[in-house]
Amino acid sequence: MVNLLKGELYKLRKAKSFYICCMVFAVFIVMVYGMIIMAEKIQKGEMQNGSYGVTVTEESMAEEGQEPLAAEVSVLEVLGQMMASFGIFTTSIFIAIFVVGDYGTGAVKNIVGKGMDRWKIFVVKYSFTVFAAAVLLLIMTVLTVLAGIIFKGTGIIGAQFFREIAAYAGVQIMLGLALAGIIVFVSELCRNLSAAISIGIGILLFSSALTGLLDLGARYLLPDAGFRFSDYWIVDLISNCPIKDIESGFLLRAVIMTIVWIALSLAGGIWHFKKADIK
Amino acid sequence: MEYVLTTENVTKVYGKNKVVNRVNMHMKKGSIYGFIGKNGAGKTTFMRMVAGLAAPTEGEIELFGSRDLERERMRVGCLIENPGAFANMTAKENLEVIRRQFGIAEPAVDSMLEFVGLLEAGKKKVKNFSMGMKQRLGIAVALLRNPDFLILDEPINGLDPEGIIEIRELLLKLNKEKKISILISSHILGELSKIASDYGIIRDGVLVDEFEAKELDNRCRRCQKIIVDQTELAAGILEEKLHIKGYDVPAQNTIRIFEDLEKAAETNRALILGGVNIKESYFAGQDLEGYFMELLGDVQ
Repeated sequence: MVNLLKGELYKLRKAKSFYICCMVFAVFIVMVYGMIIMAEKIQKGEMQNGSYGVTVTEESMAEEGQEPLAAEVSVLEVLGQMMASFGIFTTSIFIAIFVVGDYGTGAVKNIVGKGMDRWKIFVVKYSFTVFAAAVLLLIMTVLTVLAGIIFKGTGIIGAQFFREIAAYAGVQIMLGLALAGIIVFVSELCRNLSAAISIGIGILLFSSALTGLLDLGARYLLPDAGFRFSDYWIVDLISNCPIKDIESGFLLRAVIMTIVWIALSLAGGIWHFKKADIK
Repeated sequence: MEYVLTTENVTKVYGKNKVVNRVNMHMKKGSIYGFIGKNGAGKTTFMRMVAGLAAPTEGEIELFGSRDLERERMRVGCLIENPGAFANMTAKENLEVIRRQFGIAEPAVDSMLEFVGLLEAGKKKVKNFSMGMKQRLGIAVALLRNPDFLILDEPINGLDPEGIIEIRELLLKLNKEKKISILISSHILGELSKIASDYGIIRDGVLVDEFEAKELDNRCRRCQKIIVDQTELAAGILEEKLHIKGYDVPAQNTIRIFEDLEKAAETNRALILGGVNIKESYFAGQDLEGYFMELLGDVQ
């Protein structure tokens, strides 16, 4: 298994998609901060509203004594936006490429049926991909913080700043592990790149609407139970994760659901990988 | 007889479609086994089952005389359908992935590239390889773990004549020098006949025939085929009166004469005068391709 991990590490080092995702993160983060700066200039009247597609609503326009927008939007808020949307989208696409790539190229045939148990092969692929996804999210966090320091100045640096960033990013990356596991499972089921990407993005975009409907149903059927499906679905947990002052109840639920979803996706993936023929 | 592969009633069913039907294959150690069949006959599915990429619906597979397939498959290398290589990596990088996955010593990569003639490919990515280079890389991938048994599915498909010769020479070298047994499928029957020592013919999922190359020569030999009413009497006349020793009796009332074909009329006359009724007498014998086509069901 250690050898298989070494092989996966080598593949990751050579995977263009990994570096492209990192670059896309960097570009997007710069664009987000750039937009905030442009919005601030509009607020101050230094630029016309709507320039370069950036529009500031009337309510947000500067009034006497109001904080400039750039000062209002914290690094943590930018990180929150990145994590709950762009970060998980990009990471899901990377996972689909990394997992399905083995089937598309036929490289999986080089290890299956070569004296190694199939479940071990899948466990290695799963754990390494989940690890790579965590690395990607970590890189995104570091880039967001670095860009934040560059744009907002070193004045924001302090123990509190890093504590808050570490707490939020820690919880989100942990939840990201479970989401990555689910995408690995989906990719294993599909074994087709466009299907894996489409279904993965579909899960990220529409699953919350589904849990919302289920919540409505639960509220109607069991009005006193206070049960909500969205409390247990990983995408909802990522979207609803508070950026500050994470309550212990949420944290506990996040930890338990991360373990549950990892266990489910891993077991499902092993079952499918063991059962399905390699084309 | 020592076998690298024997199968017993191996069957694969997809839905209602029986793709491989009770195949009993016997592949001798050190042989090059030409596996012949039309598209969709079940060759690739059978090879995938032997390689462990698909599970048989029924039947047993034995590798190197053992049914512990997980262990024995360590000794098997395969190139099935397409070389399992990453297009954005070089040949060396692709082999490096496998080297790391199996904990193989580092020098193996360069020596394998040299062996298959890809050392000079250098930094060229696989996506820019010619078909022949890709096939050679596929063979290198299959060989990297020093297998004793190689499974190659259509390795000369899409190659130009030069590439075909290269692969043929490489396979003969592997078989002679490294004593590797090779199960190879191909559509290019003439090419296969230049290297195979044994053959298996699969038609609609059924292994219809298995024979050695020398038997193939015999089957394809030009002969006078006679259908008679009294085989023993006819054989006596051939030996005693005509002094013909080169004949056989492949089926009841059928005699194939391989000698003195130019004296066919005299042979017929001698048999008739000897009291043998001849129902049919004609010249038979084909080239390899024609014989294979007949076996594959293309010739009625």
